[in-house]
Amino acid sequence: VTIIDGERYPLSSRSGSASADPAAHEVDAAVTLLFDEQYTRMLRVAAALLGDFASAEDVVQDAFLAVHSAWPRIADKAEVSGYLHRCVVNGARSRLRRRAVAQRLRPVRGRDVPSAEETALGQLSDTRLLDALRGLPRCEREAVVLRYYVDLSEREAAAALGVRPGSVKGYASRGMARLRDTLDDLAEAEERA
Amino acid sequence: MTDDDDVRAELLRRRLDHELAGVRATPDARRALRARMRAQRRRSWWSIPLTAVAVVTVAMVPVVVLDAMRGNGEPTPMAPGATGANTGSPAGIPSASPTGPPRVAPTGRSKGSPTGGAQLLTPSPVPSHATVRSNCPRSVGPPTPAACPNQSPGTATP
Repeated sequence: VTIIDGERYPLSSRSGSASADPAAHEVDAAVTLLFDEQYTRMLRVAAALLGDFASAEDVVQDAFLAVHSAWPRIADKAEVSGYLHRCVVNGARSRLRRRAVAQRLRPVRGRDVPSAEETALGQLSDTRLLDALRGLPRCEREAVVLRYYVDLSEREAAAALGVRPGSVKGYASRGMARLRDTLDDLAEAEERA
Repeated sequence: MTDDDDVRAELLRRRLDHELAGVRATPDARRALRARMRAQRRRSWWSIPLTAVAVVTVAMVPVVVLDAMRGNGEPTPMAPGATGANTGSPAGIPSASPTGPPRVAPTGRSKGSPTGGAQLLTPSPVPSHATVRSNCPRSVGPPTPAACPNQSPGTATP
């Protein structure tokens, strides 16, 4: 029995609990434990991809909910982390598409209001690299974040992005080349400090 | 990969860690997720049979419509505003009302009027073949005189 937030979750369906559906509680417990391990990291990945905390939180919650739905179908539980990465990347892509459409349709008068991402990034003290990251093409940004922040291998990043490992290598290399000036500036600033 | 690239990659990792360290989950994130998981589980037990019923209903609609169309015989194109073949007029031709003003056919060139234009319609005193057919009971085989006294076997249509 696992106790999470004061609730008892049977970890085996043969535990004789009075629960109506022990298997469902078992899934809830497993996803809650996964949440404790992965939520903050996934939230940071989504924030790096989106540049917006509110959207990032929605995307990650949806990703965990997708894992909860798909839990019985995931045969190898070691693959859950990869599935979660895929859900976060796909959710971030979907958000970015919707945001692009909304910005195209937004009236000119509304441009005076700061966007959600500007407001969210304003909460961080120093976001020069994240700002530069937001300027990258989507594929390069995803490859850079998954390779250099999450430290996934090329094969794992390729599985999360739905592309071939060679493409991940190319995207990450081009992204690094575009970030070179920003990184050199940051290195100089660190040396001076 | 050169040494410079390695240095930049290391700097990139460090800076991403530093800049994203301020991103933290909201305090009620876990509670919100668990509430959504519970809602999803509650929804799932009745959504499956409901979805099945909805799918069967949608799949049955074309079958029922096609069956109804076959049961009513060949659908005849009706002029706009026509009252139908069951009123005693030939199919597709609007019937003239005995009490109201004479009805006027829609404008346009018609077969009965070489000059085209409007044409007064009067009710025909002799019932047409379509009228006779519509009054007959429907049968699968060829109509018999007993089943349809108004129709001779020679005029039966398949």
